[in-house]
Amino acid sequence: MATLNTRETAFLNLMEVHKGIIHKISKMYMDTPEDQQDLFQEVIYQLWRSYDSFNSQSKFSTWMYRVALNTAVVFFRKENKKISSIPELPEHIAVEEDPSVLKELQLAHFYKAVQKLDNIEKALIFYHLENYSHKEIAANLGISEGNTRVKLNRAKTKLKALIKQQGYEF
Amino acid sequence: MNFDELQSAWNSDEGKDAVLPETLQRLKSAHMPVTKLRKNMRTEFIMLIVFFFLMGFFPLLSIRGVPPVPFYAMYTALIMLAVFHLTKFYRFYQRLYANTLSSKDNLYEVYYDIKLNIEMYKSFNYSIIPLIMLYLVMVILDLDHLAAAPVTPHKKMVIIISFVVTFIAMVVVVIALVEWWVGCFYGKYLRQVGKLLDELREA
Repeated sequence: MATLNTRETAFLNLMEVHKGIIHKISKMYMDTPEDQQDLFQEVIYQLWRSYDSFNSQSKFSTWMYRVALNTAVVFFRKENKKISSIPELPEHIAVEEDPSVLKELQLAHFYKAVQKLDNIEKALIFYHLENYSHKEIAANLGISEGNTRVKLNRAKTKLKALIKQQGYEF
Repeated sequence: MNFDELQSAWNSDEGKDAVLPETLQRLKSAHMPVTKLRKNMRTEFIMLIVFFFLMGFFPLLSIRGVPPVPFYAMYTALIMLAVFHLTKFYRFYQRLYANTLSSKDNLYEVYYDIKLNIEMYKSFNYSIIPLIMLYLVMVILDLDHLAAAPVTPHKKMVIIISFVVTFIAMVVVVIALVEWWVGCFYGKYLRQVGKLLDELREA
């Protein structure tokens, strides 16, 4: 029991450090706060379930990205959910004076647009934003490097067009 | 859109709103295709067990045409089949699949996991058909004993043909029902994962 608690504590400490990234994945894959919370919990559960397979010699974040994205890609949203609280995009306010507000606005547009991409395209964009090379993305997705390059470029073009459709550009 | 700017905004998003669960013990998987499929099948199998249990009392109702010996012969074979399939299903249910593989390998594993579950489910349903046929054969063989008045050869032939026609119609209905049921309630999981695998195909 003590060992389990120690393991659980160690795991929760790691999650505390990395929870931001899981939160970002949840926001990329799900549109409502309820679904995002469900996905967040599911990822934590799947990480905990697979924790034994984590080899401490490899980087925790690399292992975590794989499990988290594999979970997000096949995640089923709640059936018959109420369409309630899809967050509205912030109004175009005077953002020039406050960079944090500008970033918030950019992220809001990004998340709204990225949710319309296919699940695999979301994974490609995620790895790209996390500065993974084409080779690393290919290895994580299990596809060729050439295929990764083509799919990533398509996903980026699609994303740009979706953001433009929202009447925003940056 | 400038991806460098987006990158900077992305890096600044620290996910402060994210709340971790206090304990991991109460966490359960609820939204994964394999979990959902297994949960649905488990509910169905529990209902089947209850049905089989109640079915055991059927001859006690003393309905003409339900002779107890052929019925319990079929019933025993049915229970053995159910135990065999439920044991296989339970082992499958307990199996944990790794989700640390690459996305493509992981999807293939999930895909074949679902396919195997579905095939197992179908094989269980179809394996009941020969048992019913055997039961009908036993009833036909025992016809003289069952009927109140002696059965003429002509009447016997009519009864046999009726049984055969009923059996063929029943097989067609069972197959159509199982395929429809699987397509509606389990096939959607397979289609969803298949679609994801298509997305990973070479561009």
